[in-house]
Amino acid sequence: MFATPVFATTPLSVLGYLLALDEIAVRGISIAVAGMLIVMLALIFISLFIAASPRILAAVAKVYPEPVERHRKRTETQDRDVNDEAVLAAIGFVLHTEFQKQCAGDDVR
Amino acid sequence: MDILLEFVKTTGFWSIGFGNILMIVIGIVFIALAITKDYEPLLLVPIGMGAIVGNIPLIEGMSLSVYDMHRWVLEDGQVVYQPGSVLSYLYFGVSWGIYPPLVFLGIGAMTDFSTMLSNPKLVLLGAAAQVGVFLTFLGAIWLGFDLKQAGAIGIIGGADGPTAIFLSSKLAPELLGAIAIAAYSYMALVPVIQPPIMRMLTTRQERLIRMKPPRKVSRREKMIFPVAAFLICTLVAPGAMVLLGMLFFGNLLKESMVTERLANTARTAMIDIVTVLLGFSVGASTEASTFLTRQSLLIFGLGALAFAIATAGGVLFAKFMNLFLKEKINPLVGAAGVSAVPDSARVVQMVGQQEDSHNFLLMHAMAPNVAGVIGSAIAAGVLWAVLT
Repeated sequence: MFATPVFATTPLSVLGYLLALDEIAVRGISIAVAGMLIVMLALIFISLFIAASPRILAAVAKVYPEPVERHRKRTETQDRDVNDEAVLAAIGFVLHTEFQKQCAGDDVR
Repeated sequence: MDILLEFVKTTGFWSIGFGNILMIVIGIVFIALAITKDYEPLLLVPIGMGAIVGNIPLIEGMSLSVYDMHRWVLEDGQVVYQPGSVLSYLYFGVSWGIYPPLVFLGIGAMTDFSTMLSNPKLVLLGAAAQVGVFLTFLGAIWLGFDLKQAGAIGIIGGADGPTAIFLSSKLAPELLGAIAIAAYSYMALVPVIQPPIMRMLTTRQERLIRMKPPRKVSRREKMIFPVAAFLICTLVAPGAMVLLGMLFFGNLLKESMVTERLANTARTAMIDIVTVLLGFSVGASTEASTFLTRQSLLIFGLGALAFAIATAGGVLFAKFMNLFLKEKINPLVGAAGVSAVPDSARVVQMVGQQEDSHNFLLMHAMAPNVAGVIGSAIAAGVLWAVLT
């Protein structure tokens, strides 16, 4: 870490020279600073895009209005769910009828 | 008798070393933590079992370890192909960085970016938490690691297992096992590491701040976002193309509403299969002779430091933003910028509710949480590009 100072050519290497850091440390500091700035910059751009998108989309919606709800084809699973519900309702109805018959039988006895 | 003695010499009891026993115990502890404490069970169970498998002593001449790769050898003047072990083929996905992008595809198909789209300023917290990556990178250099190794170690601060594996497979494959184990262990320990730091850096008044409920996001915004965000990120940092491409592709499958089957496969069966293969083969790579080194201990120390710095970075940046904002942010939300989806967001919710049981921070915390995933992938892309 604390080795021969490098020849000062950039502000960071000047810092490295002053602090007597070696070349790897100076390169590391440059990468860390640049990397943090790039990450921040990319996410700032995303943030700005997100902030602007409702306004852009509102303008677009005047020309191409957003459909309220798309009619999508029922999938096999959805069909099966509907069928399952019908079967369950039928089973419930039969059980209920049988139960009532039994109760009526008990009353008669 | 001689045959029996020869057989005994081939058993594990004969050749097992202290290091192997220690690693097997660590594997059992991982499994126990997953079962009893529910710490990241989907990861710790495969890694723990893998560590146990990988530390059974090998029989000389048999191809068993993850490191027994296929190769071509010269025998009697002829080049002969020697197949690798089964585990080495499973490990291919790790060492060639194939599994992490597939995990990202699944994560993308699971992620709802709505909270982030409804409050774009919270995205910045995901960037601030990446300070953990770069300060740990410097710490690793200071401890004597070379630049590539330091880059791979630094990414542990991104709190994202697949990203850590991806980058270390590219920059420092020799440290991959230790980095992967450190990253996943600390991710499992998020509920232990983060709360004290969050409480230490915030006042009670700050922890009580309630945030406005997020606005409703239109379907069009959700559909456009993955494509636009991918373009923005990769034009700034092209190195992040693989991970972010898969993340946003997965999200597009989900939000486009026309590829429900593909999205469903990506977020269920596919991510599960890849997680099993990734976790198990990473665990199996922790063979004592290659894993129990001074470097591994340093990596574990730096990993803890990385998580702590990243958490502090997010919280402090939220406090800094509050100096300029009319509608204040609860600074606890900043801690979720470390990625570790969704555990760190859950921790924010838990710490917030300890102060005010009616304060629901989970949905707000999900915004920096998913921004953290993007941020750590960008950080990995930058380090890969610069250090290759």
